[in-house]
Amino acid sequence: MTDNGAANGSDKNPAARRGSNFFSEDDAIGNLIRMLSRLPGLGRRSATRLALRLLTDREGGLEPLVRALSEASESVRLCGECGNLDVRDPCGICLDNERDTGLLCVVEGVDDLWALERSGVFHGRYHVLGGTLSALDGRDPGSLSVDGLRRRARAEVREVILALSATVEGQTTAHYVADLLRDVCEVTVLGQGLPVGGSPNYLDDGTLFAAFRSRSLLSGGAGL
Amino acid sequence: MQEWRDEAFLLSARPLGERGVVAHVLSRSHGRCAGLIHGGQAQSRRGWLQPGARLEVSWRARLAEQLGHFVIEPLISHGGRVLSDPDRLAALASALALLDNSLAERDPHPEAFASLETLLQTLDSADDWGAAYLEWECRLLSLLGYGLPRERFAEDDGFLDLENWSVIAKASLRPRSCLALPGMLCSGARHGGASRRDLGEALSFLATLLAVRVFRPLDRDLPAARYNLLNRFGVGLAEV
Repeated sequence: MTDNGAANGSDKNPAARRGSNFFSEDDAIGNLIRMLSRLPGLGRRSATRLALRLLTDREGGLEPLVRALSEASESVRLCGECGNLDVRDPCGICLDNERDTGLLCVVEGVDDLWALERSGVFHGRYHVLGGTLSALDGRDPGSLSVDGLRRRARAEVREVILALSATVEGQTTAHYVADLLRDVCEVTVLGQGLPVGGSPNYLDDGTLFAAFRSRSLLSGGAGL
Repeated sequence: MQEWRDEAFLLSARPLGERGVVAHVLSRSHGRCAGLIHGGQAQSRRGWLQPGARLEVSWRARLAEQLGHFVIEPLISHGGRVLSDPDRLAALASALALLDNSLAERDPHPEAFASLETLLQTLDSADDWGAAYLEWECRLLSLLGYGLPRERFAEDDGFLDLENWSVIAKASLRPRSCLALPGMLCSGARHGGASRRDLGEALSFLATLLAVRVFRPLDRDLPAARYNLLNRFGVGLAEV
């Protein structure tokens, strides 16, 4: 049961209420469960299971985790150049001389940067914008890392690739960044359309529309 | 159990927790309404939950005053069709934000639904979307009780007096509360040859009316998406 479910259900169920208060939040176990249940994907019951696993396997589970958390807390920092998370500042990607310094890929967050790195598809450098423009969430241009992007684009970049979400907010941000960099360098965006393994039958019509608009000549048989 | 089923346009959607989304929609018969969409952050649903999407929604709640939850059936994704055009995208976002911020919740507004339907179809297909957008904002103002006396707008002169909502002649002294009428909104104006500057001028005029007459009494600022549309045309609000 999630926090939400517990909150709704346990109010009317004395047994469940006693169960949820079995550990006080002031004691160490209760506090551990509370902190774990704040992590994405974990409700109170999953956090309780994890806490029990860690506490019953101190040498194999709890102590290595405490060491890893402590080490990460002390050494990991934001790269001052691109906004990536790394133990060095500038990060390993910014320091890698084998990368193409003329290509700069703009992403919304570190998770997108790591996804692109995992795929191995891009060998330039990155810039983490820190989100998208969103009136609902109160994110205006001042809350994004656009000044740093403009400074880097002016330095030695020949192409900025906008790898932002294909959403209304993501593309509004893309157009805003493209306007900022129009006189500085070439700005490109990632293609939109049919995903690998996808079938037109299961796609929304916005994706189908984009796929049709960016269709290309199939030239595989030309050399035969 | 309170329940209804209707066609609706998605005005906005924001994440709630790890899987859910709180959506605001403009429905044909039930007006602007909010509800929770369970699993709305799933990859398979994100494409459909973009502002502007036309959906069939079933709203259900135990009590009428509760937030309730939506079950959705996607129909047309208007947002996905204009992503590559910055002006149309800004117009779409602006229209949705204006409705989301100006209409009272759960008040039926069939005219607002019908005019948004027409606007989104125009943004999808027609080249002359600017005139259609201006027409839509005039209709929105009219719906909110501030219909413009456009039959009195002359071809190329005159001012709108914001205090008594009347058109005054160019020759008279211009009081502080008057706005010059933009050519694109004048009766008999031909939109075919309208320039970007003309469109910007008309957008600025209507944005000022919305800010002064609609949003200031609500103690709100004009939505950021509407400012973004002004910025795209290099104009701002008029001084009044």
